[in-house]
Amino acid sequence: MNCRQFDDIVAELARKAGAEADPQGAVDHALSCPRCAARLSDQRKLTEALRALNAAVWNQQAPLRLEHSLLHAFRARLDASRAATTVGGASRRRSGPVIWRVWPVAAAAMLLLGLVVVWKLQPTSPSRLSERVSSPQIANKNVAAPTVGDSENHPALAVVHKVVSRPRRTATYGTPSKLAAIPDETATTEVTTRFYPLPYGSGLGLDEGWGLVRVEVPRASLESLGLPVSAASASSEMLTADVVVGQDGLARGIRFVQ
Amino acid sequence: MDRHSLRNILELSPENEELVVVEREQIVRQVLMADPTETRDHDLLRRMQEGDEDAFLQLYRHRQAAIYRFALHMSGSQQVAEDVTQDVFLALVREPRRFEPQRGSLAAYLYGIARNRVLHHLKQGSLHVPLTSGKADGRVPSEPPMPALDPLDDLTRQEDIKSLRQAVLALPALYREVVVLCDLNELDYAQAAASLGCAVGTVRSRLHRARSLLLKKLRRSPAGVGALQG
Repeated sequence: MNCRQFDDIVAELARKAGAEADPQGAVDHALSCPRCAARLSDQRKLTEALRALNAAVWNQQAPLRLEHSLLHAFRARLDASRAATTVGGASRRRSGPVIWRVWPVAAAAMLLLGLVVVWKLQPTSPSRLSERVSSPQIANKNVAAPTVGDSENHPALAVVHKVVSRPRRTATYGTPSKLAAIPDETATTEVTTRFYPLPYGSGLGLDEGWGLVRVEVPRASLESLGLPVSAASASSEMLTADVVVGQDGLARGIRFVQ
Repeated sequence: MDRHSLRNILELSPENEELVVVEREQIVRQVLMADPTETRDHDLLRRMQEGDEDAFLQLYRHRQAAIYRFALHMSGSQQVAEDVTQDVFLALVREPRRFEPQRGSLAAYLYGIARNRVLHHLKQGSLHVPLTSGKADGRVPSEPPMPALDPLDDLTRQEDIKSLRQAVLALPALYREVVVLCDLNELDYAQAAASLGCAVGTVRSRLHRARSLLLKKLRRSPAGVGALQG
């Protein structure tokens, strides 16, 4: 290492930040170069001085009145948003001509919303429903769920749902109606586990847009998701999984696909 | 996980294949490397959007001190620090959905707002007032209790800190913010880069330059030399 290279990393050496390619090389250089040794010493003193400055204000924080003021603003905002929905309805009732203009649009919107809700609540066609009802028998016959652990402790793993078609769109956020599985003439049979909630975020609202993204994850990573992974099954093998992603971009749940 | 394995995923749409692959990478990264602190912030923010007052308070109490200290170090003024902290959390109350988790952490987002507000104050010419020690609003003392073996030592230490504080405030804003974020608020390069909206390499080079400038300033004054000697 030369002096110029040392100068590039001396600040990080002193801060002990970042993974340097050759920290020992830098230290060796400092031992053999008085000028660079002096630079490292100065940087270390600066680091200590900045830490002392930080310590001098370590417990400085915003005054309590700021919290009260912000809480008041939060409540006012909440009241305003709630009032906006009721005021909107009241104004329609008060102005006659406006009602007649808005009513057809509102009726059309309600009808569309109703159709969306009905479509989303529809689980499957009758033939698929019968397949799902009998799925435990199918599972017992020749379909095996991904081996993630002791199925006695996790009975849901033994129940698989036979999916006739796979979802067409992925990583697209919008209303639920855009994301429902679309029957595909060339669909192949897949078997999936139920959805497991991920260790953050608590579910999706029925009217919240979401997306289903198919990914591949290492089997060994299942342990980090809170799923039991037996020592025998932990490996670098890749598993196919569907991840439910909310409109905010947060992953909410995961299921495994075979 | 390499891109090749991701490209084996079904249902790729040719026209937006790149977008889909990038989004999948982000999602897998999210699934595999969930940060408990970050996930807690996301959950509190979501509950706050639903009108949960307690969630808002928890989020505020968890994040306000760091934002306040950032603004304090950047401006040297407690009043500006208060105004900036208020602005940051008012922005969160008014537009909580502006935060996009896939672009970075909530902390980085809040620092980003704070940084913009501080720069706004600085442009308006808000002169910084030297910080005074003392209790604020009945809370804990502003200085940590230190055993004063020698009053002169304590006075010297105060002078050293003051000198360093002045040196930091004298830095151009571009360099001051990286010193404050990385050396004083102890963010790592990635977090600082997300807050500033620049590359990690930019943060590193600016911090390197900022520290060189600080050393030069401190060497010019006896108090500054004292600060370096500790």
